[in-house]
Amino acid sequence: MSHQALQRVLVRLLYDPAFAAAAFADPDAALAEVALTPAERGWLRDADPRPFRLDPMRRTRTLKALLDEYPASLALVLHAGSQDLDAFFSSPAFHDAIQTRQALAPIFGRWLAALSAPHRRTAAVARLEAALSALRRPKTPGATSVPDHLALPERFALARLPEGTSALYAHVRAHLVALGPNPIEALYQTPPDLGRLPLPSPSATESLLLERLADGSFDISELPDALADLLAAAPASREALQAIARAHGAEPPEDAEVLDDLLSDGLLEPATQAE
Amino acid sequence: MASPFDRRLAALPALGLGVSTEYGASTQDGALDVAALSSGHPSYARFLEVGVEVDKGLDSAARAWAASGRPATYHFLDINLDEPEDFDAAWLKGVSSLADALRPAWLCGDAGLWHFGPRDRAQMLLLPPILCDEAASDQAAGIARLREATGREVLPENPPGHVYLGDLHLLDFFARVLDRADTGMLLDCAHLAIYQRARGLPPLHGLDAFPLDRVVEIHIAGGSTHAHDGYAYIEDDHRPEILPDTWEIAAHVVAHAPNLRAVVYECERNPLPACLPGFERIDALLASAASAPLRATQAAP
Repeated sequence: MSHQALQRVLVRLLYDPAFAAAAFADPDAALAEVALTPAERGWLRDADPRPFRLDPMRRTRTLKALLDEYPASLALVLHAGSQDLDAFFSSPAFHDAIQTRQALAPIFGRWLAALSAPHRRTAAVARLEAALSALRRPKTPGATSVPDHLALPERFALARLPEGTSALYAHVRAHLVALGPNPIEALYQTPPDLGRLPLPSPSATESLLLERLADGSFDISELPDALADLLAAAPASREALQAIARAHGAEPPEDAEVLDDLLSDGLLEPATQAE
Repeated sequence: MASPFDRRLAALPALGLGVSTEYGASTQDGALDVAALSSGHPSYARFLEVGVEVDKGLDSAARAWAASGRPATYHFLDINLDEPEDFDAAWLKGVSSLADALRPAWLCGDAGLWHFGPRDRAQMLLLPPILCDEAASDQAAGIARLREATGREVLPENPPGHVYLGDLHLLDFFARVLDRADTGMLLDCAHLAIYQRARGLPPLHGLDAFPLDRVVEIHIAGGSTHAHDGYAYIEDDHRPEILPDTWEIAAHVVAHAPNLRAVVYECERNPLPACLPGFERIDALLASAASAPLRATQAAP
C-alpha cells in the first residue's frame, strides 16, 4: 500500500519546509528511504509547492498538544533558558515517527531528553515524562496465553533514571499546581520560579515503577534494585524469573514464593501474546 | 435488477434540511443556537448531524437531541478508512455504543486522513486521500468493514484540502470508491468547489460522468477566497456566505440526484440571524429537488 507511504510523506512535507524544499527539488534523493512507485514520485515532482505552505501555525499547534504531556519538562526548559522545541518537526525522530506510523508524544519526549542532555535536570524529567507518555497509551492485550510465562501488567512500566529524578519531578509538579488548569499557557506567559531545584545524580540511578491509574493519573514509586531487575526481565518464564530472584539472594523455595507474592500483589500476571 | 445498495437505500429515511454540530460547539461564543433554530424555524433543523470522536463521546446537547427522538446522523471524525490498523476493537465498540445512543439514520464522514499515525490528540488533521486506484480500493474496504461492524450505512464524504496528489480526478476517485464499497455518498459541495478551484477546473467539471444516483446527502457551506505566495485558494471556514462555485455545484446536484435524502447547511460557528438567508435559499432550492422523498420531507410542516 504505497499510497499510504506517500500520504505519510505528504504529512512530513506539510510540517517541514526544509524537507519539502529538498523533496520538491529532488524527490529521488530526499525520499530514497521511502518505498514509492515511479508514478508517485512523479506526482510529487509535478506538485505545486505553494499550497504546502498555507498553514504557518501547524507546527505550533502540534507542539502545544505535545507539550500538554510534558509540563514539568517545559518548566525546566524555560527555567534553563529557552530551547528551539520547534526543531522537533525537522528532526529525524519526527520524520521516522510519521513514516512508520508511531505515536508522536513519547518520541517527542525522548527527542527532548536527547536535546537537553547538557541540562541534567531537563533531560532526566523529559525521560520520565516520555515513559509516562508511553504508558498513557494502552497496548492491545495479547489474545493467547503463554504457558508458564509471567509479565508485568499493561498498566505498569519500569524506568531506570538518574537518582533524584522522581524527587525533582515531584518538586516541579508541586510548582505547576499553582499555575491552574492550563500550565503550558501559563508557563509561556510567565517565566517559572521553581525555587531551589534538586539535581539528579550524574552516575547513580533509581528504579521507578510507574502505574497508570483508572482516572488517568499516575503513581510513581521507587523500587529496590533487586525487584526492578526481576520485573524488568518480564515477560519471561517462571523458571527464568526464579533464577533472577536466586541471583539476588533468594534461596529455594523463597525464589518461587517471591513470584507468588508478586502475582498476588498484581505486579505480575500470566503472559499473553498476539495470535 | 436492484443492487444490494439500491435495496438498502430504500430503507434510508429522507431527512430534509439540517445542521451540524461537534462536541462542545453549542457552548462556543457566537455559535449557532440549534435549539433556537429548531424551535423558531423547524424546517431548517429537521435533523442534526453530530460530529463524533469516540474519545470525547456525545456532549449534552447531542444527547438531549437524541433523547428527544429527533433524526440524527453520526459524522465520524476519527477513522482513517483506508488503514486496517485503525479499526481496533476498542474504537469499534465505542462507535457502536455511541451510535446506539444517537440512533443515527446513517454514519458518514470524510474519507481521508483524520490523523497521522495512531489515533492521538496531537496527531489530528484532515487531508484528502491520495487520488489513485489503490487508495480507492482501500477506502472501499474500510467502508464495507465499518458498515458490517456497525450494521449501519456508511457514506464517505469528499474531504477538504489544499494539497492533492494522484492521477485521478476527485470525482473519478469517489466513483470507484462507491462502486467497490457498494455504497452511497455524502458529497460536500464546498469541498468539491475547493478541489475544482485548486485544479483550475470549472465547478461542474466531471459531474456529468459521476453517479449522482449514489448521492444520499450533501453539505453546503460558506467559504472565503485567499491568496498566499501568488497561490489563490478557498478556505473552508463555514462562514454563512456560500461562494458562487459551491452554489452552482449544490444546485446541479440537487437537480440531478434522485436519491438525495439529506442536506446539511454547515454554519455551526455563526449566530442564527447571520445564517437565516442561507437557510432560506437552500430551502427554496430543495422545492425543486430531483428527489421526491426529499421534496416531500422538506415541504412538510
